[in-house]
Amino acid sequence: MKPLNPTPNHQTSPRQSKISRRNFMKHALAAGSAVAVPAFIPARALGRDGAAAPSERIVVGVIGHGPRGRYDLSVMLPEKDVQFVAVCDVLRERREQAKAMVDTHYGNQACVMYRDMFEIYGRSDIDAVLIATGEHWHTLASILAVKAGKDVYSEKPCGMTMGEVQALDEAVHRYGRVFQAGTQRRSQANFQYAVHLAQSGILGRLHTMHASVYVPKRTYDWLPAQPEPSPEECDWDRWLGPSPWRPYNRQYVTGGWRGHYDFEGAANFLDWGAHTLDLCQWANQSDHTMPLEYEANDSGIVGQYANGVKLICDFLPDPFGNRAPQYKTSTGTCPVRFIGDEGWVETGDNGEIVLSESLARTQQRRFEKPGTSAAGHGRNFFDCVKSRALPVCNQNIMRTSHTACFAAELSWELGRKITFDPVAERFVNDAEANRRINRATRAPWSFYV
Amino acid sequence: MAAPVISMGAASNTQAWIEILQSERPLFEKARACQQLGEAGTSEAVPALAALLNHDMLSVYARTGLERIPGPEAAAALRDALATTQGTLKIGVIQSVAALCDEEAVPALSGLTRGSDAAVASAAMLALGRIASDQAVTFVMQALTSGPPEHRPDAAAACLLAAQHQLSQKKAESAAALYDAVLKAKVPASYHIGATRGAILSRTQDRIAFLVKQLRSQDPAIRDVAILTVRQNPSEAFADALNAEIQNAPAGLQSKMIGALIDCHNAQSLPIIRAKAVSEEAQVRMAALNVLSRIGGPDDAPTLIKVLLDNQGPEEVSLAMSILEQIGGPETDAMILKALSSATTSSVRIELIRLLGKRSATSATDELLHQAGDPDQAVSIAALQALRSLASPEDLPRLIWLTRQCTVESVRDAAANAVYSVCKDHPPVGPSGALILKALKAANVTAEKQAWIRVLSLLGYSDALPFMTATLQDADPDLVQSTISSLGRWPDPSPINALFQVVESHANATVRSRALVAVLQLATRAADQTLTDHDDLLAWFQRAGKAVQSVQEKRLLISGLGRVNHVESVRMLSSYLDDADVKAEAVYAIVNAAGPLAKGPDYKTVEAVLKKIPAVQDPRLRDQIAGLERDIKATRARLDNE
Repeated sequence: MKPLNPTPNHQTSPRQSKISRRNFMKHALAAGSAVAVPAFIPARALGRDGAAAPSERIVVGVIGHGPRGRYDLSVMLPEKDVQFVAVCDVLRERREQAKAMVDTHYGNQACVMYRDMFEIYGRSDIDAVLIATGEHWHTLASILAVKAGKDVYSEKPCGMTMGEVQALDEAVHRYGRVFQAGTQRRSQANFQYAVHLAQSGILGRLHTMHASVYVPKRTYDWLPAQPEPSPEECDWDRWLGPSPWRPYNRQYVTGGWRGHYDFEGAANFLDWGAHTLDLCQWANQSDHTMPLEYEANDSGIVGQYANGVKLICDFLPDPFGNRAPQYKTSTGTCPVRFIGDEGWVETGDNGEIVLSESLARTQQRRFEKPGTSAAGHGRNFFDCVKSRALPVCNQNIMRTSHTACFAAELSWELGRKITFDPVAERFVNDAEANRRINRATRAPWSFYV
Repeated sequence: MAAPVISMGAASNTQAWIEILQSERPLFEKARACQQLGEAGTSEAVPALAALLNHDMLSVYARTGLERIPGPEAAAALRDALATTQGTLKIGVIQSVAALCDEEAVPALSGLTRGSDAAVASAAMLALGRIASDQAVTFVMQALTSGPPEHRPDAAAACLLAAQHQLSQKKAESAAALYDAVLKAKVPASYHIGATRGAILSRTQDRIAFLVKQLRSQDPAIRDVAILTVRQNPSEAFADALNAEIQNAPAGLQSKMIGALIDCHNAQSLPIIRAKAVSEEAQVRMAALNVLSRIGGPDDAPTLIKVLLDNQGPEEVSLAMSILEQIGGPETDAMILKALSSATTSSVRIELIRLLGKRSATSATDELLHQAGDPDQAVSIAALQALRSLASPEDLPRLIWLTRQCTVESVRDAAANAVYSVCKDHPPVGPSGALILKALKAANVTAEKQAWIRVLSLLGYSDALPFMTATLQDADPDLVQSTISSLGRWPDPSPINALFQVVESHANATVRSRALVAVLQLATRAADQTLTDHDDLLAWFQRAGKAVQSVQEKRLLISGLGRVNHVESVRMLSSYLDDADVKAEAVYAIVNAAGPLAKGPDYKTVEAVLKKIPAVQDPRLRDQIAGLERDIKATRARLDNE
């Protein structure tokens, strides 16, 4: 196996990451040239068996294969004009699982495993990447991908701070790529219908929107140190990536990173908020802006748009159980409710549409597909890779809705009302809040490349 | 659930955190103190934080603190650290300097780009691009155009960073110069792609000419980014350029241009897109049709009809059909009708007929009646299906005539269905029913009789009932059995006594069984409609109960009884709890029938029957039984008190 990182030409600490940015492109291209070519090319690869011809096919690599990555891959693999050719994870067991999943689907052994995402970025045959790493890697992996000329589907949250999503948006524009945030509920029929009711005036004048979120929580603690495994089993330094150093503990790399300040932004707010607040942004036709004021209380966070519409982010103590009284439990997870002066609509992941009595007779619709499916969202991304159109949750939309989430959470964190200027993207006369827009990244990683 | 409010930047807190940094406390505590200083510390903490910039593990924490503490002290400390740190730690410091956009650091950073440490040089170059002061811009531009070749990729990335900053500051000329420099440099293709986008947007004089040049590029990636740039920044000027350029573009690019044109909302693009819907290239046609599906109007109807007539494949036909369905107006109906009269292929005629039906084109009725008599069965059936919603009572004589002429069963069924739909949708049934009854009486062929009996039964035309019950004595067993089945679909229980007579007296067991099913269907429907007395319903079910034999018949009986909220119904149902074939159905029916009874004087009977029910697996059913038991308990208590 070739070295994963270029040989550093200066003394580095074992605790510091080793990639040389200057040599990245050279290194990456060299890695690409060493990629194994499958000896047997099945009929599907040649465009028969209902699959797209190679010239029309989008070639994709997967970066990160935890539970979410597995799910995304499972719904995107069936796309006839898409071929997954490479998988990358810093955990050996996960990259082997990913390879098995891809190979089983295509009936061959052609999928190539990598520990180092730069090897995927260096492959000139790969058009796009699916990024489903832990949250702290989403921004950087996406930025490095667009710099390498790849289009990106990134799981949400796409960044841990306002500064990260700004940097990501700018990088996508700077390198002229297509980007889709994994806020897939915009591609689901029941949520689309609820938004249609709000935007079309059927609800009357929209005045209040409810977005369900977790009760925010975070810890700054470090888990007890454990011996680091070999990099082949789990590359801890690469897993940490841009996050500050801390001692290894297996819990982090197997999903236990959640809730830790250095690995999950905004105290878990974006886990649902990236979806539900994003849907409110859409319903209010506010994709270009966001609420100006935010104030947390015991039950949630109240935001106020310039057009007077109120946004209420409701803390759900039992998000996967009883969602009453704020929402109808039957609508499922991630519920939202839009209220106008002539009626209201509520929906969630079960696909059910609940309407006010005034609208139930005329506007009721049934949507069987669960709201969580990412298949349609993936399809939208792949269509845009071909057409070069903006996907439904493109970098611009992601930037504003994520920023609104960060601002909302910050009002909870500071325990007071805060005011945000959506144009300057700064808090108004609030140095204390503005200090929290960015965090430093661990060298040599940078979002400005 | 409010967040723990972090104590703010009082000098005392800053001092406490500094003491942690300068102590022998564990790494975690020092890391956390750095974070807290970043959130709320004052500039007094800068020296203590700066002292950690050479610490392998804590340097990044210290940098977070320094980047966040307001004032010039932190920037100065970081600038100083450029000279005292090495390797990766120096790279981190460079990045923090860039994060603060410290213009005073530009000379030092420029010097670092020339150093022997390639990674440090790379980071310094990118930092200069991020700072993007005039001095930094000049430096990165020179590095790209006349610096050492090994610096070019980083210099190009720095130029892209700087150019983006210049553009955001409305310094278009400066940005354009940077983008042009990247485009001329030998650097990776992804940098050229980014520079192409920026070069289009930053140009003020020759933007369109430059865009057109990119659209004509031999490199598909450059053409793609030109399209992406138009789509993300739509304008009239871009649309005009694409309108002109699309005529000579290769097919793949044309289809992408069509998508970009719709983003530009330019009226001049519409005729062009319309013409592309009948292009010789399939992918261009599909792209144009996809656009028309979003913005199509009556003016697009001729094009879309031509797509149907050209019949280039199911995908295009389906798309054209769906657009035409949405386009309103009698003119479009007239165009489709004209196309139908001239179409020659069966599949195209069928699509046009379906389209007329979906458009509710009542003006097409005459033509559809004509098409319904076509010798091509598929065309005939399509026309009859369309007539179900389009024909009116005035058309009934012709539809009845068409039905009578049919010799093929599927066509006859389609015709009879059209007759039924017209009668049902245009009450009262009387005049129409009389016409059909007349046709029934005149019919000589069994299949035709069966069709009319089915229609009359579904309509519940009472004047036809004597004739139809008389048919139950017909010598033709097929006709008798189909008549029984049709009578079972009568909308009210009127035929039930005639059917009971068949159940109880017919010589043929199969006929008896079919009549019993019909009886149970009528009684069950009557129970659902709640227009019939419980006594009558129970009498019918009891009478039918004497005849049931098969499991299927028992299930129908149980299903019907479950709809009757009467104590006798519950008693009858309880007798099936011992029947292994139907006991599960009996439990559901008992629970359903017993609901209101548990709250009234018959609660004891219900209680006794519930005790006979064996353990059930279905949790929902268990909940319902538990609910009944609670009701019984409450009822007993209430009645005892009374």
